[in-house]
Amino acid sequence: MSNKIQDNPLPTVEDYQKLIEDLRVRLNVLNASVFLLEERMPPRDMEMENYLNKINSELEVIRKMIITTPKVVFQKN
Amino acid sequence: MDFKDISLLVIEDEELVRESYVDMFELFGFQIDEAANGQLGLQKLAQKDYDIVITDLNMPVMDGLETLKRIKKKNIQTEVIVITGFATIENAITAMKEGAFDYITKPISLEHARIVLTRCVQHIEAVHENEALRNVNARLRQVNELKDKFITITNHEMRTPLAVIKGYMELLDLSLEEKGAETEEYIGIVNSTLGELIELVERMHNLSEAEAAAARFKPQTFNLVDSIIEVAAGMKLLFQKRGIHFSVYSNEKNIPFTGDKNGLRRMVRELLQNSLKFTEKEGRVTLRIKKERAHGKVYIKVEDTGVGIPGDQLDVIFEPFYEVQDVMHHSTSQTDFMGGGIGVGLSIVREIVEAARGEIAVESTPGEGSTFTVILPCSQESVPA
Repeated sequence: MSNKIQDNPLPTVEDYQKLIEDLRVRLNVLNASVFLLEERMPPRDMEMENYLNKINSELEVIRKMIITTPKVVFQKN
Repeated sequence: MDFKDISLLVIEDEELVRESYVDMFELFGFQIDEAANGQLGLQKLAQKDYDIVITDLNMPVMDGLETLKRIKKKNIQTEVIVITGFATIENAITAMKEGAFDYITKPISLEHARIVLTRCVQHIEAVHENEALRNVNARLRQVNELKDKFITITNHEMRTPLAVIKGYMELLDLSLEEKGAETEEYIGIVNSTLGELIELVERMHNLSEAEAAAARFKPQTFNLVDSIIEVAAGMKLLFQKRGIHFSVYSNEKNIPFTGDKNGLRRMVRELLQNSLKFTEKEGRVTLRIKKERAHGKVYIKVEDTGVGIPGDQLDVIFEPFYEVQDVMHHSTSQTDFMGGGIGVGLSIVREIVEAARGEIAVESTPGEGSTFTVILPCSQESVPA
């Protein structure tokens, strides 16, 4: 038997999933390019090493936020 | 009432009586199956879910009451109507206490059966609708939770680390004296990706700000023309840079408006930014302000000769995260042709217009352009110079 209540098309979980996915993709690109930059960089001094460590540590903070937290929420589906 | 989508199982031990029931219920339009006793009926129920079961109470092998109990145990949503003689009316009442929807007395009257079955089908539909509503509510709650969570993450927790990374990248770039082509390339990729992430976060922040704006803005009376021209003047350079002809017209110099000044400026900026984004070089964008004194309304129109919006998407462009083009395959700048963004600009416009008790309409022809019209109520008094 058919239901009279139609699904509301907007907004959808998929919208947020797309957005999160978009963030994840860009974050992955960022991670990879920072890694490759480190690999290809000419010899660096302590200061540069310090900058790279700071960049990597902030990237890790974002990675934890974007990759872990929203996935836990979406898994409730 | 249409019964063709309702499946019905008739359980009756006397063959001729059962056939007469089947004929009667088929006449109403139900999809009918039949069984000669409770046990055979349960076998049919094991293979298929029926919406309604009509069962005699007095039967050999397994009586109607026992059949009812087992049906309800298997699937509480299957509705059971019992058929009983006058002599066993107490059994019928017992059956109702066990969960039967109703009872029909023998000999069955066509009209009575129709009334009971109609009520039963209405009940089933109400149960299904309630279930659908519960599902929709649960889904909306879930989406809302996700939205809140997402906005919290992007707003409060991602902005700082992104800003820190951007800062250190700039320092690193400055410290590198001799950069090879590869290093240059990777620095370029890191910077452009960072820019994309920062813009995504910024746009989410804009959306949450707009949601809160309706609740917190303080109305003030100001000259709407001046405010719009200020915004347009700020945007003029961007139109020039993109080679787009941009002009502003107003039928009055002073249009008093009482409302959220910042919201109005934001609304105009978003509409112009939208036109800028979807209009090609050599195109034209026109902003028109027109006060209709007779109706106490002001019309703000942004017309462009851009790519236009497909007709089937006009209803959804004001929804958050909606964009006409694929967000994964465009450039990141909000001012480039088909440039970036995550589709929250027009939803912000709608929020602001609704908060001002106005209306917004869009007309568009793909390949020819779009016209966004905002209609706002305005007062007749003038604004002191």
